[in-house]
Amino acid sequence: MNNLRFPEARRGFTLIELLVVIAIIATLIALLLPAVQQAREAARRSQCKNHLKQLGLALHNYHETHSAFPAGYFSYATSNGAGPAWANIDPDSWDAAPGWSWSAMLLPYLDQANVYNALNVNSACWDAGHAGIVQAKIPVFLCPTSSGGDEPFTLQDATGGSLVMGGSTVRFGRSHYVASHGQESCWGDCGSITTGTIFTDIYTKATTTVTINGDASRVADGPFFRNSRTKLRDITDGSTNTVFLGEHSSKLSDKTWVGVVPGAFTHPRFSTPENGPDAAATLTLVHAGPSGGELDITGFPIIHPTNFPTFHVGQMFSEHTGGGHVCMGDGSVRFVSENIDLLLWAELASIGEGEVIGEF
Amino acid sequence: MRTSMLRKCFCGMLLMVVVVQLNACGYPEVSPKTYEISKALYSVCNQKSEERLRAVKALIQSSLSNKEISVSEADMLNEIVAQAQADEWEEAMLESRNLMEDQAGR
Repeated sequence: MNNLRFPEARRGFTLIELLVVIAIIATLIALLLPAVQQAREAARRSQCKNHLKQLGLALHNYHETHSAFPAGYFSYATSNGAGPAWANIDPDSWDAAPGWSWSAMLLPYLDQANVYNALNVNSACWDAGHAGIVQAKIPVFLCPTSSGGDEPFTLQDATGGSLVMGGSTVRFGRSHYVASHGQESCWGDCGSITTGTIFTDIYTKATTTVTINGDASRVADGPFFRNSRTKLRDITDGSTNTVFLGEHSSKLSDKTWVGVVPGAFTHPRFSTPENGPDAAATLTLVHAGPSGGELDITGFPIIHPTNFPTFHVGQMFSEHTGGGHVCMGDGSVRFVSENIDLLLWAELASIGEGEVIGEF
Repeated sequence: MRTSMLRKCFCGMLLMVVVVQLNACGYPEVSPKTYEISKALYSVCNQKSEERLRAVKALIQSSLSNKEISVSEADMLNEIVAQAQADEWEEAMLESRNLMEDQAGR
């Protein structure tokens, strides 16, 4: 009888085999990962666009009900910086109670009536009575791409310390969406500084001096500002040609859906040679520039579209690659390149300066 | 013999990695004046303004003469100006953007 002998079965892989398999798997992952990441970012982008669309619809529903768009934020109106103690008027900006922002006013139109009903909108937005509810995380105000966090944040004062109101710090729920003040801004200067300079023509760079005395409408040329009551008929440049809302990622600075607190400041989370803290209104509003007759070193108006690399806290800022979403006055949402024509961006910011808007 | 070849290969690869890393580092920290000029350069390229480009070029020269910017900074800016003069406005605009962006967080 022949004694057949078979070769002994191999019990495992050699080191070379394992290394080759690992190398193949690593190469496949390296090839697939960018595609997967791109698909995920595309989904996040759609979600962000959808959020802005909902905000745009809510703005129009608000307009239907109140015959005007909500104010950028509501503040006790004063023409001399004086008022009752409850108004808590800031001596510099003349920002005051109640401070509720455009976004808080939209809550009933965003399926958030329960949150709105829990707020006492007749009292200050920082009132201890609703300190818990103003920290709510409301998904429609959050862009999933924003890397700066979506948790509530503590408001800061001018020095960067915690702002104290009535003996306690103030924490607000976060928003990644901001409203447009227009080309011009007067955040901290809309109060005690009685006169200001505004552009009357960004092409000829002509400016004029206006008397402010607490009236932000003398400066603002966009749809949202302190105590604004913009109607559709006021948007003579056309609602399709006017930017209403845009993005501002928490990576750059904290924004809120709640409101503006006198004495608060928005601080950048990373510094550039040009950015720094800005007054309370920038908690919920931004502007496009140019503002206050400011020109660059060659005499060109300073304009900062979404993601402009000066990274001001008072500009739009998105983490989507190449630009950011904006909601136009007609409720449409568009993705605007960060390298958009600067003058066109300024034109899109104002509601009634009579500019002819080209393709974008 | 084989060991020395391997060593040479390793050194070569290491050098390549270092060179690639250096290239990916972007622009160094620049003076406030250079930052201002790069901001203006961005808007010049954005508007494709040949007239303002000439003004910026003169500004770079005068800033260098007044020692407000360094030679290497002037070189960086002049490179962008040259790109714009070659009708590569988009590329020049992106370069000015990169220069400004690389100053963030410093």
